[in-house]
Amino acid sequence: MLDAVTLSKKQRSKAVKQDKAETKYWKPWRTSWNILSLAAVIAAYVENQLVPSQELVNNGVYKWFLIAYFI
Amino acid sequence: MVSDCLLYLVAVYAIGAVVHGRIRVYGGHFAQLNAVLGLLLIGQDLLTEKFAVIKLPFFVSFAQILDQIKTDQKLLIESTWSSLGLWLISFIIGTLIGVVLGLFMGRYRQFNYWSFPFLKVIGIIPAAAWMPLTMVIFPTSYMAEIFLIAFAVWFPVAFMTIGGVQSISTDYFESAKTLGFSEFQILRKVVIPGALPNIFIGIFTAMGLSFTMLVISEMIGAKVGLGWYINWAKGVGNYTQVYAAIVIMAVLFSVIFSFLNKLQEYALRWRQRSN
Repeated sequence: MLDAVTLSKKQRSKAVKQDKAETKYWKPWRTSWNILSLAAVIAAYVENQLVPSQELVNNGVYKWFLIAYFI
Repeated sequence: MVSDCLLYLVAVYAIGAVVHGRIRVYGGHFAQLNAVLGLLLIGQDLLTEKFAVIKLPFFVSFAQILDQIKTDQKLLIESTWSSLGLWLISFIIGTLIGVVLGLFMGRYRQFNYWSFPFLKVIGIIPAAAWMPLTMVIFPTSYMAEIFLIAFAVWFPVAFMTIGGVQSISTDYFESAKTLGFSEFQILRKVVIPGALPNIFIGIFTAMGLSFTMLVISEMIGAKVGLGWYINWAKGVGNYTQVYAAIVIMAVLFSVIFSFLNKLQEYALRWRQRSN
């Protein structure tokens, strides 16, 4: 069982980490931008799937890249 | 299958973004960048692979580059390891020489008197200018490459280290002497920590030069490596391979840069504490 000192140390460390993250990643959450970013990646996937290529290209890796990029 | 995965990830992202604070912080920060990068990928794909508005084969789509990386993965992995090994050995040698020389030149006036003129004259010569000589002087091309990269590294590191040592307040040295520190203890406890911020500036400056020199030297003398791969791809006229090596270099050098950043954060953690 965690004692009070360990708990407060953990809480402090968590607060420091959160503060660091918020200072480094300072742009606030905007739902519209997040929907747009999601739409852009989906559009890139759909475009690659639907528009025919001029050359014979295996797009399998690109599709997986888009999924990984999105994550 | 892929579409199902994509849908699943969208759902996870949407739920996680709302519920989990960290995802919300990252997602909020990178959303605008992701949106623009997504649109750029679409634009590049349409202009190259799909409608060939920009002429193939000199400009290719990102899908083609990734496909090339997959096709050549064995050779690229071998080349990446080779480049990484060569860079690491040379960078460590160059940094050590630079730091040791810089510490001594900054700390000891006599040493500085005799060596600084040589540093100013020899260090300022671009490493690439030594290339024709090194290929003849060194018994193997690998040793010549190590020398060229280390040569590009030592000068900025040494120069910044000298500045770092000389900028340390004399009060610290006087306090150390009053406390009975030996010369070795002064070096270890005062000189090195005091010069460390400047040493890292030198290391970061040297890093860019070392990457340049790595690619140039591999293009000339190596039988494997990312620089060699680019040169070979250019020879056979496969520009997708050139782009593939460039993408791998971008990833590799970014990873090295991040690692050094972390190292700097750790070594200079006392600065954050004092803030």
